[in-house]
Amino acid sequence: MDTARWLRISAVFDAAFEVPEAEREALLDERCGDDGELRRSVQSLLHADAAGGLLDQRVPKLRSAVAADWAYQDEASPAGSIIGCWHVLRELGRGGMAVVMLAERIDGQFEQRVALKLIKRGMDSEAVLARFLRERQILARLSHPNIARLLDGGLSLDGRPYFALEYVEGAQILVYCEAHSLSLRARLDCVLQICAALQFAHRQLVVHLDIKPSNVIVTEHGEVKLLDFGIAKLLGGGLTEPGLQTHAHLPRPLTPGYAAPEQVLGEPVSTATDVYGVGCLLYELLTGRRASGLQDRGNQEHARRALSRDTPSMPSQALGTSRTIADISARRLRGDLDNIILKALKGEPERRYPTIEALAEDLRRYLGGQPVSARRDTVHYRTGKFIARNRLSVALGAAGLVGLLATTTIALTQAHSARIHASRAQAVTHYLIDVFRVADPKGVPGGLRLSAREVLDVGAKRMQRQLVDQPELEASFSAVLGTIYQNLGDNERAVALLQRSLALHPLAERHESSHADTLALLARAQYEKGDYAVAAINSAQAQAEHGSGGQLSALVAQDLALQGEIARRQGEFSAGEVLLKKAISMSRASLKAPDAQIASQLNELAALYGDMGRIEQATVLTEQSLSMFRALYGEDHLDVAENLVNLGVFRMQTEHLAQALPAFDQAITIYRRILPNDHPLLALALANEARAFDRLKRYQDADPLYREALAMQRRVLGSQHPDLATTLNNLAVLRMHLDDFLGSAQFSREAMAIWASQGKPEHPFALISKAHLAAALRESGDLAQAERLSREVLASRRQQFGERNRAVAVSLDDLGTVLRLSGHADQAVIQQRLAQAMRQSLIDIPPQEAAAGRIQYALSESAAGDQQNAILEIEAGIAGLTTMKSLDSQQLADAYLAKARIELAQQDIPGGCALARQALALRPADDEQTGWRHAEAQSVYGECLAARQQFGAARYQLQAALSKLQHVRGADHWMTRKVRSALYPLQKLTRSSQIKGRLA
Amino acid sequence: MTTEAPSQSPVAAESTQRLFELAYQELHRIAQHQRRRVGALVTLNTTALVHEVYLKLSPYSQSQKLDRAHFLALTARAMRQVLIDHSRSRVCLKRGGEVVFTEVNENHPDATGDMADMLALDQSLNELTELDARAGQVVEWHVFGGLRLEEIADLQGITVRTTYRDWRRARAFLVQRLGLTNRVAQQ
Repeated sequence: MDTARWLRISAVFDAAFEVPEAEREALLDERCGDDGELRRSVQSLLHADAAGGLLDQRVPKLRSAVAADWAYQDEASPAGSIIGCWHVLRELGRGGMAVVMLAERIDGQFEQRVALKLIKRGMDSEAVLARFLRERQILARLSHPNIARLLDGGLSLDGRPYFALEYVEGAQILVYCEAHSLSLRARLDCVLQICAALQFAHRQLVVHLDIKPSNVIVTEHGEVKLLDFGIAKLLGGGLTEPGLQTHAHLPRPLTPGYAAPEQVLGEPVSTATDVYGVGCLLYELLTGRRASGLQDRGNQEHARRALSRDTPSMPSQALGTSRTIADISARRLRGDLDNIILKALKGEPERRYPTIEALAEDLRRYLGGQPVSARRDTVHYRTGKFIARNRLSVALGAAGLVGLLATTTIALTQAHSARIHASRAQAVTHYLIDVFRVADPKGVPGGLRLSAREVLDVGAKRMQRQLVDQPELEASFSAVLGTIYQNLGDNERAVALLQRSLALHPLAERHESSHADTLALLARAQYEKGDYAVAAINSAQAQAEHGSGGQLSALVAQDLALQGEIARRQGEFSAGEVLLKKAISMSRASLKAPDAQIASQLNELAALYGDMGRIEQATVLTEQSLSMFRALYGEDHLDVAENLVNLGVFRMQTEHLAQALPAFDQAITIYRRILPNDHPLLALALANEARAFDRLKRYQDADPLYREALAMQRRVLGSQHPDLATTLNNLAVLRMHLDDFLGSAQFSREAMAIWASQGKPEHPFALISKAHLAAALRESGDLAQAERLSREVLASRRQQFGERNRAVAVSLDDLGTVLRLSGHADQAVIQQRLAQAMRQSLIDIPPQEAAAGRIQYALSESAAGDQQNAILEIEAGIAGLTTMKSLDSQQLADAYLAKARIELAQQDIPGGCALARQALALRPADDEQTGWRHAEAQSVYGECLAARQQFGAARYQLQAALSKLQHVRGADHWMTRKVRSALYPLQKLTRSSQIKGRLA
Repeated sequence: MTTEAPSQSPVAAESTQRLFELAYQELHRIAQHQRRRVGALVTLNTTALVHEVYLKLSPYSQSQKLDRAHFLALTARAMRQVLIDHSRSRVCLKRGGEVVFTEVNENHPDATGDMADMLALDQSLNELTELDARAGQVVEWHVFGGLRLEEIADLQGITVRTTYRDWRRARAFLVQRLGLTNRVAQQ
């Protein structure tokens, strides 16, 4: 534009304001005439004038923002000034919030240089101050050799907060490695030091969130120091930070190129965020390239990559075949190191190493030449072919026995039915990938190779944007995507999408079968998520809609099966049985066997029978289901694996422990082959195998498997899932077997808390955990609590199961035992007589359980004074034990000890002594720290010796038992007290006999 | 931007340049002084700064026979120059080194954005001055010198009405150049 043109435009523009707005058009016509361009220019300028207010607002703000920034920037160099007891030497750097200076102590008492961080002037807004002070607080918690230490903090003379950090002289880690041409091993050692620092911080609930080379300094001694907790965060509270909470919605500071996807996307951060940071560091240290590939391409590119949850190219590829760094070549990175680094850099936090420790462990394993845990993604995962159905077979311990704790167990199986098979899901996924390829003319953005899951995520986001005007299309796409997400195990997303689909469903078609199908899918997803109540309502609604359509009996059967499954999960077994049987007969009528739907429903019914303790029926049904699945899919299939797990559980329940292990092993092998590292099904199989080990008394093999399963479930199912409660329950049983009663109690409490959070504090499984808690408390010495809990369990079970029930009988045993130990043998006898009578009318009581109940009853009768009855019962109990196929020597020892006690009470001294000696032989000296069984046997033997008037020997045995029990079970434990009271008269007696001896 | 001052009175270019430099330095000095006195600056009032520089340097300007209008023009320009130089240094800094978002202040979400906007404003103002020197001066004095439109009219020796027109036109021009109309459309 030239000046002349501008003058013409200006003249018309100015004139336009001289006339009323209504006449403006006419004026423009007149003044511009044929000059259309002039008219357009003026009109555009008039349009701009309307937005003049924006400039009026923006300019003063802009001016003061720049002026303020200028003024702070212009701050005189603080060199020479004095802050606190520090003398500033020079500036080291400045960020947006603070200036960092090198300083030394004024008094010069000892030579100490510090990095002094002083908040900038004008930065003392509440939020900034809060963040600054929080960094100081966080640092105060972190005293670790690999973290720059906080030395001092306070206010400067002009009132600005500062803190002094250990000044680390050294080089940034990349520079250091480069300069010293460090070997691969040495580089990994550096990273392990960072891991140690982070592990420590994580234990203090601090996550760093800004791991990058410039925050890692290596000193000349090769010591690695982690700096800058400026954006660190406290997990799970502890410190209050009101100023920050209110700003939680604001974008969090981050470093592009190093920030984890969840940071970029503003999702919750966790320790996994630091795992990602360490992954970035490793990547750059070993390849010389940034994992993000970003040198400095700004925020948007980074955000896009975060959104696609893209994993970087393999480190070995990034290094290239021609390049080497020190002794690092692509060949050395290929395999384990590639896998380790990429596992740390997974887009989804839950797919990374769960902890820094796990990452460090893999690095150490790599350095030690051992196999690492990280493995390449399976093809199945990348194509999204896995179905997250979470069943967990449960081992439920019943009453523990005093001095024995041979927890009898009721294992319960849970099977599954696949609503939509993996193959179908895969076909839909592929179809959708093609759809999105077509939809995007440029192909996948940036030419990245995205996994099917990533395409799905992008597609789902895009759909919400693009189909906003086409509700019908969005409805059907939401349903399809929701189904796929459900099959991918992302139930949260599945529920949201399916709900969206239903909401968009055209009113007129509310009764079409597509609506019912979507509703059924929603019910399934809600069920998988653990929302049983809403799932049941929606499934019933779907069934009603399906039913009204006629000719849809296979679909109605599916609805019924889901309701059956829900009923089973809620402990409503008989309702579940009716529903599942009906579903199976409908499926058989409308489908041709072998069919996956029939097989699934058979499996489901088997699980129900498992829950009900009808193991024989359950085994038969599982075998039917298994052969149907094998006929359909061959060996390597999830359904086959699941049936194997169930079969293993049933074998375990029918005491075929040795045969259970191979079934579990087969299933685990299949899962490890086709599932990602973390998966609910894999966790289930692991937990079951752990249970088998527990049953085989291979406790040390069981414990790590349980813990692996537990950690996996927490990662994939969250902290409130019923399956987690089951694993906790089983782990509680194991800890009891290991004599860790307090640990056991804790796990039971956690399990109960989950059921309470599910609104089902009285669920049969919750009651089992409660019974375990009672037993653990009893054994740890808290009889009052144990009694209270036992009574609660008994009352709940009576209400649920009536007066003729195996679990009720066990509860009566438990209550009787705790009453006797509390000194109320007469009351104990009443409860236990009831239990005995109840068992007479029940069939299918495992002999071990019956014998255990008898022994407890005999002890109570004896304590209450009826020795005759006691001896009859104990003999019947021992007879029961000895007829068992697998004779449990510990349970036998318990029985002998009980009988010895009874015979002593009956004054059958030689008999009692003989039995006590046998028990002692069966209970050899045990663990120094936890063993108490030998001591208990010793004490009974001691009482026998006393009855035989061998006071010295008796005193020796009782004294030894007492000191061991005092150490292991505590001075105030009921068992210890009992021994002490047996010893007491003996001490008096020996003392008086000594006196007599002296007098004589 | 054009550094040439509008030639309204016959003053040696040399002394104009000198006075401009003085004003520039004085701005820095006063700002620093003010900081020391007040401690933490909550806001920095650029208008007050310009006035202080004016008062400070007026004896010198009188000795140079510089009229008030011309002298104010110089100080406003010095203020503008200070802010532009600063913005440029900040934006260059960001371009040169690693982009560090680590300590982005939650209250000032993106200082770099402000700097870039300031440079854009400067650029548009230069374009305007090329086409319409008087309107450009109105903007410079009003925005950077903090003078009211009435004062500007008085100093320019024209009617207030004309100055208002100049301002309105200039503002529409800047809005157009800076793409603010689009933002209205989006809102």
